Amino acid sequence: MMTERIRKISRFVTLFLISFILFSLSLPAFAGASETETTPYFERDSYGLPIRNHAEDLPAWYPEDIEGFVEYHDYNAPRVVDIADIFTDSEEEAMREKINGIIDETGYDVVIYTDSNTYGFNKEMYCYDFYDFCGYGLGDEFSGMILFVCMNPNDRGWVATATGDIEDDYTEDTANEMDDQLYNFMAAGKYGEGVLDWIDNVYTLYTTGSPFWPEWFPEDFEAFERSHNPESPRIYDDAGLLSGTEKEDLELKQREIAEKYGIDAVVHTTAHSYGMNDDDYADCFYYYNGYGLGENYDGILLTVFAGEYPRTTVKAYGAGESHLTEVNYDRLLSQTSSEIEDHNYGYGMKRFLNNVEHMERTGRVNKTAGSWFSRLLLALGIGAAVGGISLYKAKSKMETVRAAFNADSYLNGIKNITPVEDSFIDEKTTRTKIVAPVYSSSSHSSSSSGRSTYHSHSHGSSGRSHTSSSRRF
Amino acid sequence: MDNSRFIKEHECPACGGSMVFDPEKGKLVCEYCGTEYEIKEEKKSEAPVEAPAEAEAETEAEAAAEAEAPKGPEIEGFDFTKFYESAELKTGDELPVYRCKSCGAEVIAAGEEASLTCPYCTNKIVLTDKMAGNIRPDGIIPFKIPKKELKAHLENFYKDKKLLPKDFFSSSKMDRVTGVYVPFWLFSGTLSGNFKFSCSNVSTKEENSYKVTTTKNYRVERAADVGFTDIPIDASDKLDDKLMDSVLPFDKEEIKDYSADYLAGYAADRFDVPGKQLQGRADGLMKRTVKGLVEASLAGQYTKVSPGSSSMNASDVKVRYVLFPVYVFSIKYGKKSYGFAVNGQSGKVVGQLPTDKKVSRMYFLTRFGIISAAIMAVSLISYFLGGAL
Repeated sequence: MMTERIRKISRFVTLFLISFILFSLSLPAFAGASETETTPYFERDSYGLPIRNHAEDLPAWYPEDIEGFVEYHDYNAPRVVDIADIFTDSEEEAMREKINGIIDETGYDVVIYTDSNTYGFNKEMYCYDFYDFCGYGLGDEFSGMILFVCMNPNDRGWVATATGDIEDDYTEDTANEMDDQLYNFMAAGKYGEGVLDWIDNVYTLYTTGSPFWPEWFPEDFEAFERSHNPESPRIYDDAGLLSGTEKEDLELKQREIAEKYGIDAVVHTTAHSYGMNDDDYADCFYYYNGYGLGENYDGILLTVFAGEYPRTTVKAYGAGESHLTEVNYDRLLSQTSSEIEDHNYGYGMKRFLNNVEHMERTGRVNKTAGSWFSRLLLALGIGAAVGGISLYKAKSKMETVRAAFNADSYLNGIKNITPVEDSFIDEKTTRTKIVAPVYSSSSHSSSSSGRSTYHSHSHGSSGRSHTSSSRRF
Repeated sequence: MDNSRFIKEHECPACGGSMVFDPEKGKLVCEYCGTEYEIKEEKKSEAPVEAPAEAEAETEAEAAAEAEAPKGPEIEGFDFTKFYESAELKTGDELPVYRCKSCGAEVIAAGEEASLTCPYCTNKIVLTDKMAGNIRPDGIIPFKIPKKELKAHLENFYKDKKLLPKDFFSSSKMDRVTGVYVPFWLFSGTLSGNFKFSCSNVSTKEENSYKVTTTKNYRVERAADVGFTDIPIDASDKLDDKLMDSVLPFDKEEIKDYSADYLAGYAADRFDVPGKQLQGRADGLMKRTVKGLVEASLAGQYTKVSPGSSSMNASDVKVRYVLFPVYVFSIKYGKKSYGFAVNGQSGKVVGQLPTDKKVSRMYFLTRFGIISAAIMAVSLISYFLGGAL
């Protein structure tokens, strides 16, 4: 009896054990590969960062053996690490909530890190290494973005970095747009607000490929059907550069051009290019706002990108292109942009419309008085040079009496020049450093017009590629 | 002293008139009856002059003085001391007096004058003693351009001189044109020299973001032997050296044996330039040529050549004493006199010319205005045509 009972229990236990083992092995199939990948075990510091063997002068998460470092995903690592303590508790909580939502929805990581010490590294390298060695990034490409705010009083600024699938979306224009917006907050000391706004922009970037979109941009642009829209304002001062009077004046001129020449002359000011290059932005603005007259949407568009260093672009469409020769284009752009760059917005735009009107009427854009003056100076200079050379030659002809200089004309063919000595005395060598722009091995660095410093596809100590922008505040 | 025996007057055997050398015909022509006579070539009694060998000291004192004398000129070998001994220049008191065979007037000729016109009867007189013996010319290039053609050559000369005052040749006063045989020394020989240089070769390359410049320095010496033939040096102090240099070249293929007949109707001077002056000029001309040749030979071997010391020595020196034909005259314009010379063989005209400031200004302004206006016109046309200019 006893033996029979034991046999039954053993059979049950065996079955249970086999079932348990089989159940454990089947867990990755239900939960997805990434979730069954276990985070390596680390001791963690008070911020939740891993503690590993490290050099004395480096942070505890920095591995001593970089060569032997194995990449990993740390799902348990904190996504907001405020070592510099610049956020309030509620701000931190709000950030964590937003980030979790983004991760769940997009599968891309977002990390916020503040510190006052970069342990001798430059900010970019320190940011890359923090992201890589603390196990941040999701998916096979460790995709995600990190914002590192350095509060070192001697080097205050931030680095925003994109890794993996996000790298190509984080263009220089996009980076500058996002940094421009963040700068307004950081310079005012509104760190928490700024970072929360930045996280929102990252979400838009992840979901649409651009951090923000203009209000005129259709939500479903793929389904958009082009049509004329006479209601769209022809003087679209989105950046608020014009006074009421200037705007009225320009509208009057614009109407005059449209009535006389059938050309829709449009002037647009904006503070953002929304991650697009200037030409693409102008094309989109013209297209989606229904500008242009006639079946070919004839028109010409001046776009002014406001900012510390304003830019202008001129694009023509349909019949508007017929008079916009290269010469006319150069004159239009140079005359307008010279005023815009001096922040004479109203005057510059009025000049643009006047030049368009002249161009439609005569086929050419007027040269400026300055241009004619330069041409006159050039003509006078060349005239003086020719006159001077002619006078010199005429004076030379007057000099008929000259002493003989040598006896070259009386050589009789006997000419022997023989080497007697060619003794080497000494040799001197000088080395001068060639000053050239410094580029990292596979990255392009640029500082666009005094805005963010942009590094495309740079490498951290782990060798992984990152694209970043940085700015001081 | 009666020096009549040295006077040669060219008297026409037909009419007794005065004969002069006609450049067009190359003969003696009577100024009155036009009879023509061939030039008689005079027998050469002396061989062409060679540079004397080193003079032997006549006394011990002279030898000591020579030894103590300062170092000789850079070019050795030209020593005309003995040469000039036979042609001493006489002082005013010693000037010889000649009696004109035509009118009997007494004529004094300056030391170097060998041909002149009697101031009383305008008879052409050639003083044969000035061109005889050791100082007889080795050759002469007879005048080829007659006086009547001078005007055409002169017009050709100043037609492209745009800065000349408009009335220079019309309202100025032209002095008498004198055809004169100018004495020249023609030097031939070989100039040998040693030339020292400091040379270097510089190379640069880029190495590990450094520009590396290497300079190798050398001590260089070259020996040169360069031959010259017939370098003309004007031997008359009366005529401006620059003017005589400018009137060259003369075609030496046309040098004929000397005959006093060629001098008839023209002035002629014997040499009067001291030897040292001569040496300095010849020295300078040949040295510059030889130096230039040697430096040019180094240009391909070294990137930088700095000349050092040099020494030169002439050898196989031969000198010919030849008379070249030159017309000389001056033009008075304003308060100044401008000297001219015309090559009596080729017609080449040289001379000092005044520059009119107003004309110069207008010359400049005209060209300045035309070019400036043309550029502006092109710009305007291009603008209206929609071009980029």
